[in-house]
Amino acid sequence: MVNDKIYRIKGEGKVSGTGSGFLSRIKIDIDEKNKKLLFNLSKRLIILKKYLGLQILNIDEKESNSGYHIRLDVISKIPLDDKDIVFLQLWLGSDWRRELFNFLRVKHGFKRWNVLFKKKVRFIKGKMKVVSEEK
Amino acid sequence: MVDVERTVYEFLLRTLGLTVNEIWGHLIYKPIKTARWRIPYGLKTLEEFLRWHESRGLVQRRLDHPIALEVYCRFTTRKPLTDEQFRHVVLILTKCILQAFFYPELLDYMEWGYEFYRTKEPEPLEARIRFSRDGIEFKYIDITKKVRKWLMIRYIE
Repeated sequence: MVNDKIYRIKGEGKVSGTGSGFLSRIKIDIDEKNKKLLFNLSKRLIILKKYLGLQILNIDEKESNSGYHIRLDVISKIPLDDKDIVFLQLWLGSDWRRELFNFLRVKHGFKRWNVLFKKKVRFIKGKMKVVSEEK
Repeated sequence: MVDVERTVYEFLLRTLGLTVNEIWGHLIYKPIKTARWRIPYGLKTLEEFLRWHESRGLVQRRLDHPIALEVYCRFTTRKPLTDEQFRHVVLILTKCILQAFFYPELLDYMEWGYEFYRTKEPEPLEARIRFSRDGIEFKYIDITKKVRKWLMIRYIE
């Protein structure tokens, strides 16, 4: 239970804010550039607020080459474990393939599992090319 | 008030804090290729749809490849990595994959990503290859020593 004004997320630095509850970071990778998806996401967030009592501390939204990268810092009244976060990310519209691998990582007890890249590259004909980058 | 606190805190982290860098490599698996021809009428059930794709050879065939393969490296520096440094770390990690006797052709199917975040305390260097051949059992190879030896970037522990 955290009551301080500055919270610490395990391995993710610190976030400041007010309120009490359990702090978690949700990372959403949307693979389409469609404003409707963002509208759907906001609808779902409102539902989450009502049913899970989530309080949103910080929204960091960035556009990538193929879609959007969204990082949410939320405070919940009930503690959210790693599997809950995977479910929430999937439910909020994150890439299903990414969430499948996140689920496998969590299931096998890996510590580092939730990554959302600032930059992505691939080797094409031996040369490294930037596939996607946060703007 | 909250915003002021956050801005001040982020400013202090930016100027005084450290950066934890994470470099990841994943094997990308595309199960079904995009069909360039029309899917015939009459396919109503999911089973029929799957069987049709398999019969046309559209489901990706796999050799003795691992079903999942990922490699990651994590270390702390003062500032985020430059493009050249990122490229250097990626090359080290590819070298580690090749030394672990994975097929070199797998590198063509891999995607590499970079993430960093600001922190106050340094975190120790950690590098691993994780893989699974059946999706049930996951194994890992610790490549921290190799990365430590080859990493020519000044890191903090």
